[in-house]
Amino acid sequence: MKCDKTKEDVFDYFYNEISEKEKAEFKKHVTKCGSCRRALKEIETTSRVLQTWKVPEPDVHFVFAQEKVTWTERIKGLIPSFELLRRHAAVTFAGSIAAVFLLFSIANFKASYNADTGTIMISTSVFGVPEDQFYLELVDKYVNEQMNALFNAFEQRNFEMMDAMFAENENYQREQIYDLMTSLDRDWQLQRQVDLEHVGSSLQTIYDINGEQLDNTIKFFADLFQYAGIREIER
Amino acid sequence: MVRDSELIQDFLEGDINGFNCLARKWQVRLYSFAYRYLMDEEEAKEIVQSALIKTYKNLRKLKNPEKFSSWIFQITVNLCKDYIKNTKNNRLTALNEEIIQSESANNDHMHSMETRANPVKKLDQQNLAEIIKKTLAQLPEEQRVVIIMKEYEGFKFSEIAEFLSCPVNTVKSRMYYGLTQMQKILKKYNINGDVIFNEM
Ligand SMILES: [Zn+2]
Repeated sequence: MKCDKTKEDVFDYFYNEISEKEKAEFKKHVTKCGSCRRALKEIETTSRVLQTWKVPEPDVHFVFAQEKVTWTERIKGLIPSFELLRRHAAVTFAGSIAAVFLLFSIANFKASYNADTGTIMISTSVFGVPEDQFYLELVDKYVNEQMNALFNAFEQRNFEMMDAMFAENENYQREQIYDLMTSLDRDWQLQRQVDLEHVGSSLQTIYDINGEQLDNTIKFFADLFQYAGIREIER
Repeated sequence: MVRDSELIQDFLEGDINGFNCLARKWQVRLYSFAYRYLMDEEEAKEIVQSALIKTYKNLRKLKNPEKFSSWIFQITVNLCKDYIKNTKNNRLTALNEEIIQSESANNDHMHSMETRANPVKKLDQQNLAEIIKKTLAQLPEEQRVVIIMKEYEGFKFSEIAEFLSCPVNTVKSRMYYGLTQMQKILKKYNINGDVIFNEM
């Protein structure tokens, strides 16, 4: 029988690069054509031999993107806890502020007396938000300044200096934050004293208006302040 | 499996991880290709690293993310070709010399093997891989690369033609001559498909 197929046709069939119709046609042809059958078998065998060669995975990790970015990223890469350190300081600081702030919110109850119903209304007043914001910004600015200074130093590629600088800076930063906290605390103590005086005078007013309910009120506030960590209230 | 185009999108939107996922996804395949093509472990690693760096630098210029797979492959193919052009592929030359040297020594061995009842049964996967490697190494580079792209990477003939910038029929001819040559060499090693596959 005369064969009009080429080696390309055999490839196309074997590697499945023809339509279903052509495939069926070729399949039929192969049953009758010995030379195509042989050619197909040769390809099949060689292909199966080739498939037994497996390449083991490479034993290296290729360098990916993060190792090829900015200096900032590189510094962070050098010191894994870098970001953590900064965040830790910020969280501790914010936590302290929140705690002290809560204390002051309690201490800063507003008391008002309703003469008609004879009840005392108590509500909290949120004071000091702008101050807190201010201190937070101050610390943030300070930290940022430190960071910038560090990055600039790094630009000079003084690797050996880096370790020492970070250690020193860490201490310095800790000291600065401590100083800042101490001065904040001092300010707050002062503010608290003023507030207590204010509360005291309010109590005096209430006492003047209604002497009989005063004892209960004083008791209430005493409990309240004791709870808030304030030791004593002058009558 | 996340699609390449999604990872590219992530990367273009500034997520560096998009690129890293892409690189992780492709490294083994690119390495296997480069290794089979150049038959040199260290060189294949170098090529993959360079290909990944090139990809990173040029990914923004890729207009159609759907074509990423051919694109990154083209980069790798070009790097391999450059390497072969610049070094005349020392490793392959060495491999070929090794073959010629061991040929005479092996002849006796092969001969004695042939006289045994079923010598090929002794072939394990690793030995067979060595033989395939040596066989492929003896082919002209242009034939070898076509066989590797077709058999191991499963590209269509038209795609291979594009990678190598030559007509489809040329690719098929190279494939044909390459396979014919391989069959001759494999027969010399007494490798006959039926025996192997009954064993494996
Ligand atoms: Zn035929």
